[in-house]
Amino acid sequence: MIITLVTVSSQSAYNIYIYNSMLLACMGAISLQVLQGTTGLPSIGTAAFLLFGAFGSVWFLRQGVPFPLDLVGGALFAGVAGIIFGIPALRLRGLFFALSTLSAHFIAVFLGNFYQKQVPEGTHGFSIPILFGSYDLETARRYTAWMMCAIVALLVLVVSRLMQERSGRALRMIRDHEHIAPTLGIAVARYKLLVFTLTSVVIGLEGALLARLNGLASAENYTVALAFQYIAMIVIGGLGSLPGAVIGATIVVGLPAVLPDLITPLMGESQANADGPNFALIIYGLLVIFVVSSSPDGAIGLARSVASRFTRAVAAIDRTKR
Amino acid sequence: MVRFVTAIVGGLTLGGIISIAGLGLVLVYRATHTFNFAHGQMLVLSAFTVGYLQTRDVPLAIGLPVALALGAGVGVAFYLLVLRRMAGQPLFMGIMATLGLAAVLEGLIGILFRPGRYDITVPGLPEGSVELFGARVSQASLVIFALTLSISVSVVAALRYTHVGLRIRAAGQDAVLASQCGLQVRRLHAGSWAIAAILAAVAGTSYGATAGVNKSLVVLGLAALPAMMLGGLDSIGGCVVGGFTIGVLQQMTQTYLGGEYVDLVTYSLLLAVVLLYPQGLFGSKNVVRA
Repeated sequence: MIITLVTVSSQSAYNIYIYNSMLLACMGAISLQVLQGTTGLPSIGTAAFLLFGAFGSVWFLRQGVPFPLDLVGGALFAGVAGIIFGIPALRLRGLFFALSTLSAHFIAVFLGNFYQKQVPEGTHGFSIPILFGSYDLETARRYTAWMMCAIVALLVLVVSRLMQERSGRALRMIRDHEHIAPTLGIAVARYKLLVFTLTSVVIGLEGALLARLNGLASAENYTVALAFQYIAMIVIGGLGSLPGAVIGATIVVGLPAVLPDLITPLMGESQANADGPNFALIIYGLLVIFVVSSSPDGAIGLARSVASRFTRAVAAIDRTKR
Repeated sequence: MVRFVTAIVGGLTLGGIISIAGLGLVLVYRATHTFNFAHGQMLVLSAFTVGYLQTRDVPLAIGLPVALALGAGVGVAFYLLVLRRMAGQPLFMGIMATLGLAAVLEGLIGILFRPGRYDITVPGLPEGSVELFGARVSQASLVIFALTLSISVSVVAALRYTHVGLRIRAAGQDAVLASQCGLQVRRLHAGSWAIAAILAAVAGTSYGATAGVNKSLVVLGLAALPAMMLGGLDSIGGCVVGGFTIGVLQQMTQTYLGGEYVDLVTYSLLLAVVLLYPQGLFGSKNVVRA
């Protein structure tokens, strides 16, 4: 259902850039969805693992590791960090788990800054060759889009299979009834650690790719607000739902890009550009509040209830015909 | 020695501000069991309002109450419109709601307050510095410290010894039981949110009086989290202790290790508390069952 997104149209280079950002965000959103929506471990550490992945790949690059392998290296580095932070957090639930991920965030940012200072050319962030840099901008972005699409499609396939199988049920059991999960033979600690590590790997990969998309990896870009954005993505899309994560990612990344164009008629272009991101913040903040208070299943829930009302209406019409 | 004294005084001033912010967080936590991640933004919103009004030559005596009212309004509105509807939902949905509020406020602040930076002058705050154990300390900091300390202590005392305070605490501790005793729980919860917002406003303005406010001040709201955890998630008195501790810790780190270590130390402490001693110094044990 989601692989219908394979429409890389002949849009302008800027729009393809937005599209790529959305695809990348999908990776993070899907991971967070598995971690938070399905397993019930709320994490504010998304930015931390993005940083680990990006800086990890930078480190590998500087050691001379060639292109695709540095991404792998960065992702694995993030995974190791996931294990390190995950093990002590295994006994924590809910709020306390979230707080430990918050601490992880600040530790990660500190380490990033520290590394940046160590390396002379890195003081303002590392610049990294953009993917497919040898081609012109538009073609480069098209190729990037295809590559990202492939990665995201693969991720979606893998995750949706997992969610339907035993693992998915086990994770949901951990989220809803952690106390009795062990009686059903679920190795809670192992699952939690596995989920945390694997999602960290994927988020790390996203971080490495993100750095290559933007050409820059600088510790100051990885803020708590960034981590919140991913949380907003899965909440707006619908907690626990895979297509929801994708929808949420599209909305949260797309809003700041689309908004300036929409409000330009109201307040002139430069103003719109300056205020656009802030309006986007307000809108998706309101969306989160709205979803959380009135419609906890998010966009997907809304779509589902519309769909079920539709089918019920059709069935009622059927009955009256007979 | 000089550095030590400066660090301690600065730390105590900062600590007073953090503990006021933290008190608001504790009240809100006890009332609605949510962690208000929007506290930093509420802080900045109120402080910016005061600063903005001052640039329009509105005296502090009028500007401050306006900002307090605004903050309280936001807090109560949020409670009424959002949290009341979410009664049965799992814990972290409330947290998500506050994250949404934080985003909304952040966007509003960015749009309404263009300059992004204000200095707040409190009339009557002494200029100049004074000698203390061989170090020069600004009188303003000392006054702010005394002020924030007295505010914190009086809030704690008010909550403990007045009727209203007792009701607020009761409603916060066990809403169902309190309602059975005839307490208007919803009103008390709304009141808790209003007080929390007012405290955030006071904290923000105090900080602005010493160092000016800009958007990055939201980290003050976040810094109140370790203070709260250290003191104990639901302990009002403990929060004041935690606040001062974190304040001093941060200043010491800044002075002796350098500014970039401040976050690391603060949040490593948070991590340690969460992992090893989640109920904090004065919190009650059943808080951990979150």
